[in-house]
Amino acid sequence: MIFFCLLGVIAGIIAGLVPGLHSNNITIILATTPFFGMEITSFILSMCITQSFVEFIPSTILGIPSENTFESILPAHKMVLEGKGLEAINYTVLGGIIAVIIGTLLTHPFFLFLEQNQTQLTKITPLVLSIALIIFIKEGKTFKQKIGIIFVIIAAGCQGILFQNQLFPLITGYFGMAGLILSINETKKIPLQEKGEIVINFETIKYGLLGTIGGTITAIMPGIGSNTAGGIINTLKKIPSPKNYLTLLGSINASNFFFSFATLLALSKARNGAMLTIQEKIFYGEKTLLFGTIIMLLSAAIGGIATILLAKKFVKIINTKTEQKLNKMCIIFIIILVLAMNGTLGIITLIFSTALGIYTIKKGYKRSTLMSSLIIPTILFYLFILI
Amino acid sequence: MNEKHLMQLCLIITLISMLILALTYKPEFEEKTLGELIQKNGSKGKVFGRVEYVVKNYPVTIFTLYDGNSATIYYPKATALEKNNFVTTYLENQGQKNLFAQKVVKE
Repeated sequence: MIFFCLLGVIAGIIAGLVPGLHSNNITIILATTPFFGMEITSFILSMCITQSFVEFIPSTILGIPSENTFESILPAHKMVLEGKGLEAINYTVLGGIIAVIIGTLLTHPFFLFLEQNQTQLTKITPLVLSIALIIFIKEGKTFKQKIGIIFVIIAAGCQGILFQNQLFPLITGYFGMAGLILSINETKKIPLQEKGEIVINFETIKYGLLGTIGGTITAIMPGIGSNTAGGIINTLKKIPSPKNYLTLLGSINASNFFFSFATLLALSKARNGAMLTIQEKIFYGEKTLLFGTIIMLLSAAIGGIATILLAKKFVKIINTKTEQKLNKMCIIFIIILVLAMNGTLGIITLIFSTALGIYTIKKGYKRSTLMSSLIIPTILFYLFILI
Repeated sequence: MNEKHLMQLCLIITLISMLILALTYKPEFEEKTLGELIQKNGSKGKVFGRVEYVVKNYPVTIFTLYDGNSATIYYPKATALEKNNFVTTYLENQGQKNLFAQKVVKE
């Protein structure tokens, strides 16, 4: 089983480093294979947990987000411009490690809680998501700003429905391309990235814990992704420091997947593509939860080490460049990637989502408002299909 | 704390996890025969055999499996099994000689 776990870690590293490639794509292929049992399950679990750590590298260094890391772009980019890119990544690793340690201790009580409260949880999901939208609107200080935010919510919601199978170009347009285009004339040289010194204090651990709680909620409620949760927490309780916000996001990202395994076993509900595959491959036994938890803890630790080491290699890409040159490289890379993976429709999606992203930034609205592209389709799904 | 300390923390977690796995992990389904499974209630095993007779295929599958001994297997999913198919089954003895299949893989 350790062999399959290590294979999964390698696959997770590749999936995390390549923007646009997700472990869900790989698990879809695995679903058609004749492998069953804890070996294939440990491969999938370790791949996904490792990816949840490693994917912060391209979003921090290159500014290219995944669906799980787009909220990290702004604080991480700010730290890169201060020469603290490695520190930014190390804070996400720290958050992830805090989450898996706490997750290991709380998995069994969480599992028991889910088993006893299944029906109530399904009913409150659209309510929680609606509250998130209200919080976004309340962020507007004047009436005019509130109207503007409502426009962005409706526009993003429509884009989310229209382009529902184009998630990568949608998210990349909002949170990657928009920012890259607006800063294309930046001529600042990116400072040399210093060593990644981090400070562990009460504040850091607090945000790691908060992130773990956020991750358990996203593991239960489909439609609330780790970044949506991060954006909501940041809106409710202003997190002043980028370091603390990155710890929070690292923690939510890791715990979101970590607890989705317990959700699968307790509720027989798959929260993501990987769990859908595991659902068909796993044997439900007394010790399934225990072994799955240990595999994820092991892979998270190896993933953390891999992230720290790989980040040092990756910063060499940016150490000699100006921001303008790097932004241009990233824009070209994104366009090629979207064209290769999503075709012409992907490019169209990218154009529309980038336009809305630029509008949102120029008007000074929070970019987390653009998550309405994921929230509104989910609310509609719950209201018209499930209830 | 710098990245070196963070890596050391990750390394400690790695070693502890590997140790726990090495001490506690046991494969859920070991290779067994029907004869061995039937003898002990609650036992689990992976059995390879030939489908002797299919009682029904939909919505659940009930069939008899032969590997030197015969046993009736209940599998809670629809399949396309036919007589004389060779299958690998992941079985659990749930008492009173009732064998429940968690997975049936046609060879």
